[in-house]
Amino acid sequence: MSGLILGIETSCDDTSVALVDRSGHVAAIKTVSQFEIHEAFGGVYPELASRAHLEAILPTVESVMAEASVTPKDLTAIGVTRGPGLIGSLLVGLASAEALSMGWGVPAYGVNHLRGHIRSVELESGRTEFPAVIMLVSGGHTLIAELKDAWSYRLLGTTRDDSVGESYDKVARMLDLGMPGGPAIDRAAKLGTPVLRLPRPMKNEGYEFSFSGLKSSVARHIEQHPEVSIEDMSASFVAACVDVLTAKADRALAECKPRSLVIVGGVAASPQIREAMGKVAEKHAVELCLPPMKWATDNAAMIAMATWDYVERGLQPDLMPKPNLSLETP
Amino acid sequence: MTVTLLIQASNGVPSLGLGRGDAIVFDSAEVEALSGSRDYRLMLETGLGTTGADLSDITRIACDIGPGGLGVTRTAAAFANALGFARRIPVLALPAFELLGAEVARDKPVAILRRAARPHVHFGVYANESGRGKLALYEHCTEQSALDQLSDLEDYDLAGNIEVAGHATPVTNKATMTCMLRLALTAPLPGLDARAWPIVEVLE
Ligand SMILES: [Zn+2]
Repeated sequence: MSGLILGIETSCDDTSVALVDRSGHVAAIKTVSQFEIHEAFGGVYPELASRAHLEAILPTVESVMAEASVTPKDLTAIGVTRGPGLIGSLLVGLASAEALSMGWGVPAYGVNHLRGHIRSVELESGRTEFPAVIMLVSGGHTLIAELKDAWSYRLLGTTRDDSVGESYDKVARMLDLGMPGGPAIDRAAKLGTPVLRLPRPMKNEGYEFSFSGLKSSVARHIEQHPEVSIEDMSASFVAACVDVLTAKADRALAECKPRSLVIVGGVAASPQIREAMGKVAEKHAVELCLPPMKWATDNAAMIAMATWDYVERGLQPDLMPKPNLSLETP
Repeated sequence: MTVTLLIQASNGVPSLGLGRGDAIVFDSAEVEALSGSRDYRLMLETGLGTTGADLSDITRIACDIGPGGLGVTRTAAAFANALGFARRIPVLALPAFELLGAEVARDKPVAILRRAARPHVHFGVYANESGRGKLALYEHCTEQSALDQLSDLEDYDLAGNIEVAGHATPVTNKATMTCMLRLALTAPLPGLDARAWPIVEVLE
């Protein structure tokens, strides 16, 4: 199938638009960050997020189309995130895509954001050997799933409370390390020793995750042990996260016997997690797939890539927002 | 003949109209099958189908920009703006209180009150001097401040979705498509890249 897909991602706090062909080549991408808008609130403020999406979306579409010298005639379809995400933010993307679709005469598909993350591995000629086990670790999601092929997924487990990225950010704030929290904690952790014995929530129980207890435990230790350095505190926290994540990956590889282990999401940038997952993959003799960092965080290229599946399977376009969409629903 | 697309949503119930020349030829609010719909594509396709018009006949879009329901106004603007962008036609922004004022105005000023996040309201006064109406005042203020200002007005008609003790209930919280079309056709035509930006609440 030739042509390009225009991907639109507005599920949270970034307005992202991209053009991607069937092979995963990204002809153009632009992401407008809202970081400065939300920074003062210590988290994403939904009302401000959707306002900012409305302002940014059309100039971003225009800019990406111009950069790639693309006209609506070159488009096979439009793919837009329909969930999971913030309802107000999703609606701006969906309503815009619906009107572009009508105005240009190009079909528009509502796409599962989680499938986008999974397909991000295929961008820029990356490939996944199936079956695979995938772990999605970011500020918005924490889940582990079995991929039988590029389309059929079985969700193994997800988080009961905070995502792993959220707990990184919260702990970074407790330690005054600034935002974004992940890289700051990783840097501090490298200089420290994991001297504190922090809990490993649900490490030995199936595939579910829970990170809020770990975060509370860090808060208690900061209060009770002011003598422990920020570096050692960070190292102890990272060690606990790595322990839990690798235990789940190890269990999934043993049970599912896949050909590859795929780690996606913003937290996959953590050098400690990358190194530890490398060891797990080696133990099970499976290939470790780590997409380049630019595709690991929320972006429209992954949404466009996932849209090709919807187009080729002849799925009915559905542009209803689904704020709580699960992995197993397209 | 050119067609004007009208979208009104800030009262919380989206509706879509089509005007041919200065006559309304389609109003989604009058189609039972579209009752409660938030699907602008379906509304527009139904309108084009029943009137025999084509998308390419639309030469201007008018969109209600509130104030009112935050999400519903923004979604309407997103659709209107993207359609304007895709078809290279201008989107005219019509403030909801101009619409309500023009709808209700007879021989008295029109006070307009709409709910906002408590304790605030949207408050406006539409003055109808010599038949040429205009919104003389608009504030996002506390309900008490709006009521205090209203007590200074000698006589007025009331519109919106908030009752005022001792006054007749609000006449309406929605303008007719006929009124909206009249405003759209008398407003200066903006440039091709004009888009609708909702009037937003000040967040505290
Ligand atoms: Zn995401």
